[in-house]
Amino acid sequence: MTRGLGELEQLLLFALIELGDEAHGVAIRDLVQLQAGKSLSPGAVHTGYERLQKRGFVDSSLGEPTPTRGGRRKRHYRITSEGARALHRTQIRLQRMAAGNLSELERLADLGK
Amino acid sequence: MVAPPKLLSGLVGVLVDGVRREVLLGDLEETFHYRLEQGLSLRVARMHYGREALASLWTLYISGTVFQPDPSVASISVASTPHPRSTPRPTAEGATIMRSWDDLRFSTNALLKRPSLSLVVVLAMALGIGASTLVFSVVEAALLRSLPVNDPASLMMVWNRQSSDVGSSNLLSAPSYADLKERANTLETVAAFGEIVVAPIVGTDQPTFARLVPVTDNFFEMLGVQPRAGRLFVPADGTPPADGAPPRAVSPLVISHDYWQREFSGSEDVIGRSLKVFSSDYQIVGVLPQDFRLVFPAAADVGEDLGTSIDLWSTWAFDLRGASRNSRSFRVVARKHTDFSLADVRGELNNIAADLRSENPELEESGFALGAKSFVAESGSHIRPLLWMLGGAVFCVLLVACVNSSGLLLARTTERSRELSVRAALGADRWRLALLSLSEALLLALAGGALGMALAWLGMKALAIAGPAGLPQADQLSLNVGVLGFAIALVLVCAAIAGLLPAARAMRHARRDSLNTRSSTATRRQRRLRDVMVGVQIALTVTLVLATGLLLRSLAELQRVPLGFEPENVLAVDISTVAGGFDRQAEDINAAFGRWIEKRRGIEQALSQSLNDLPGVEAAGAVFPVPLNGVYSRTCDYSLANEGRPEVSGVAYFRNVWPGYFESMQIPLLAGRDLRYDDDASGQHEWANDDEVRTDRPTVVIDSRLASELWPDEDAVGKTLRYDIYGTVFHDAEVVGVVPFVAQGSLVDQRQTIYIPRSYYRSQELTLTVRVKQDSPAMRASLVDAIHAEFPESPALIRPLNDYVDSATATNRFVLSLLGGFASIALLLAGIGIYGALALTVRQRGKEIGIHLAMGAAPRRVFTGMVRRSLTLSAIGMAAGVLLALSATSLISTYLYQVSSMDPIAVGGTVMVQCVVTLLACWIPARRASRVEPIKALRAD
Repeated sequence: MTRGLGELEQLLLFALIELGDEAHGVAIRDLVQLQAGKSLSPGAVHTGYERLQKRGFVDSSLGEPTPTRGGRRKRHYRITSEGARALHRTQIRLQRMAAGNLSELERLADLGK
Repeated sequence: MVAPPKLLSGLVGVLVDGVRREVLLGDLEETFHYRLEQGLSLRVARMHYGREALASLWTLYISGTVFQPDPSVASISVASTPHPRSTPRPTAEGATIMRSWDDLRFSTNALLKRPSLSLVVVLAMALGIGASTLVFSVVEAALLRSLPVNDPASLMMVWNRQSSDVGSSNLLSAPSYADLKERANTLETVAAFGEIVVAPIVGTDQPTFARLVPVTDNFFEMLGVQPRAGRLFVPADGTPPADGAPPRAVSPLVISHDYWQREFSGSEDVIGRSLKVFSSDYQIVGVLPQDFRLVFPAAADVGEDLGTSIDLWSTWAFDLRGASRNSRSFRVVARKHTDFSLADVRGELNNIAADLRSENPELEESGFALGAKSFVAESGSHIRPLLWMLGGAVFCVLLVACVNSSGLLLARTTERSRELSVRAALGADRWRLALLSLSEALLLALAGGALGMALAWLGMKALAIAGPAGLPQADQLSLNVGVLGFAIALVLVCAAIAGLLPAARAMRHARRDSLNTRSSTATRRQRRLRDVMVGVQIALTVTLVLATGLLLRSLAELQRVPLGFEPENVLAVDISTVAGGFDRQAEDINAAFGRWIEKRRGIEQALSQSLNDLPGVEAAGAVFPVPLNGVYSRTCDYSLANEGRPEVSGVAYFRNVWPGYFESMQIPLLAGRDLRYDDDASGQHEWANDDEVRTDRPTVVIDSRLASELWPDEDAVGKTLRYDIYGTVFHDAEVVGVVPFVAQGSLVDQRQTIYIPRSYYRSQELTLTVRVKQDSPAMRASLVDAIHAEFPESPALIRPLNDYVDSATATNRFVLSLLGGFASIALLLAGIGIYGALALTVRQRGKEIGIHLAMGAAPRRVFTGMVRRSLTLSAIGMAAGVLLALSATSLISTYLYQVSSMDPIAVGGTVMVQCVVTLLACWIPARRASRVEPIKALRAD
């Protein structure tokens, strides 16, 4: 792998882990909004997953059409093992750097206020 | 169930395809319903829907996702359907429309993959469409748009058709106008306007000039013009004061919209304001509408659009019948009855003229006749040659752009032949493939058209600044419905021309089995087609370049024409010699007039003296009208009837001059002497008509051309010639001096000039010609002071005489710069065309070249072979172009001066320019060919 994962991509991958079988566009959007406070357009969600899918980190499948969707199908996403490994790698790297520095970071950030 | 906003879901549906669309729309709709369940109002939910839909589209486009295949479906779709991008879709949408949308979307993607090629095609089309649209907007404004008056088709010009030469002698006298108005049954209304004068507006802090024309009181009513503010003239305005009553103290005045904006900043309370014009008081009663235009037939000798060139309109109020038939200043405009034809009108006019001749001996003597001409048929005739030429030029540019685009698209189709073959093999029908090609061309043409509109708009702004007189004014040019329609038609034409050949090629691919086709005959045929297309571009380009070259040469020749005077350091100052009127009620009108003449001469002589005494002034004179002024022509008839040789006759300019004029202009006296202030002092003055003075012993100075025409082998000084200005009063004048020929109207004007002393002509207009050591603000200020010392109320408009000389070539320079611009565009496009075609040839023949090189051919031979081929092709194109230019020279002949259409310098220069462009264009592909690596080339496909 040549490129790490961006913040948005990490958010999207974590959302898949949390939502499991229920991971589809609207649910993911709500989750990211709720947990990360980040509001994404549906287009941005799918664009993000398409990129991840191209890199083999995500699988997708189409669900059944439902009336609230005007008879259209949902797209479900699933994290692949490769995606899990990549996310894990990125997280470990980040946490190693963060370890022991968080309290100092909080202090600096507070001073900045 | 409530549906989300149709418009936005439709937009998403059009712009996004496949599963992506389904999922996106589904997500949007699901959220929408969720929001409604949460109790949000429908309006707010819809707003959210819109925001999210647009944000989604933005993300999809900005990230380029929408142009990439959907990863989850790509693998299925190729297998299941022939079209790689078509996917199962909900059946709700109309299948056919969706299919063409698909084509367009597919085309967009394809085009975006080759941005440089697409950009070149878009630019080519933008230049072609933009230039054509610009020229069309001028044509539309000048020729096609009907005059903003009632029924312009029934308007006609009526004039005194006594002489073939158009000019002041073709005007009617007031009594003749009154007779015509009374007797003509085929004419519904008869109105008239007078001579345009540059009138001084006095009595203000800053006296200025304004262009004024008097009209009859029914003039605007006949045209059907409605005022923008106030009122236009009514019959009461033209009613002369009753017998014994004093002449009206204040006359009504109508002002143009432009003048209103310029001088009164469009203030609504302008109505009722007073204005002093010449020495009379006027009151503004109305403002004309902004779009008022009135373009006269060329034969009317009015020259310009009265609607835009006139600032002030006054009305005549005198007893028409009481005026002399010898004073002719009425230009008659009439509206014919719908029941009669132009022939009926002409027939009746002939009868009326015959009756009037038999009733009035003076009309019989002058050979009075009446002619009529329709407005519409003749309108714009003076700029038609220019428009024809520009039209021809932009047509060339447009064709080059189309052929160029076609060539580039064709090259790309050839490059994509493998892809097309795959599609065809998978079952795509050939119409579909052709449609794809066409929709690509259409997309490019649309983009080009949009950009072209912007260019045309910029061009209109530029024309407003740099356009020559006679072209429609800036505010008349617009991207209106007609022009837009034209542009859209052009887009379609461009798309068709540029897209048809590639489409045909694509269809052929589909017909051929063709995965492995690389038939050499087909390639050769393609190459021949490419050559033809390049040749056509070169031919058209060479035509434009050659025309530009000829114009350039003409301009150079024109600027070498001797002026006959030295404009450097001469200031031309327009003034108005208001010296009060003379008492027309006097018992002895001739004596009163004589006194007035004496008075004015005294003042003018004093002014001349004080100007000549000013420090920094080398010589001061005065003339009216000044050479190359571009407004006035002022001609008179001359003959040797006094010598019993009436057959020696013609038309010459007459110029009203001060003694000292020739010196100030450095016009040398070839023989005889200058005019003198006392030339006519001893003579008896007689008021001949409104403008002319008869003296018993007039003197004139003539130019050498007239002298040698009248007295080829004799000395002209001391001879007498007869001249008359209005065909009414003739003067037998003694020639006291001869000066070199000076071109008056334009640089190439061949008409001779008779210089008459200032005092023979009662005109207030005068242009001082002051030769100064150096032009400076202080110099100008002291000139103005000197003028105001004698004529306190006169405006003083100062321009270097060189301005007039420059403006004499303004049209030529304008035409040259436009044509030069078009030629440069064509050259650029032709260069790109040559490059594109040769590059493709090199790519297609890579294997062949590789074999040659492998067999031991020298790379230099390959290089020179390629270049020679391009040059040969260019030579053929150039020959065709020169021939084409030759047959089109008549279009530019108006602007050619002393240059033959086969001018060796112009032709040689054109050939050189084209050769350089060809070499530049073929250099890189030829180099690439000579560096083909044999092994690679042989291995490649």
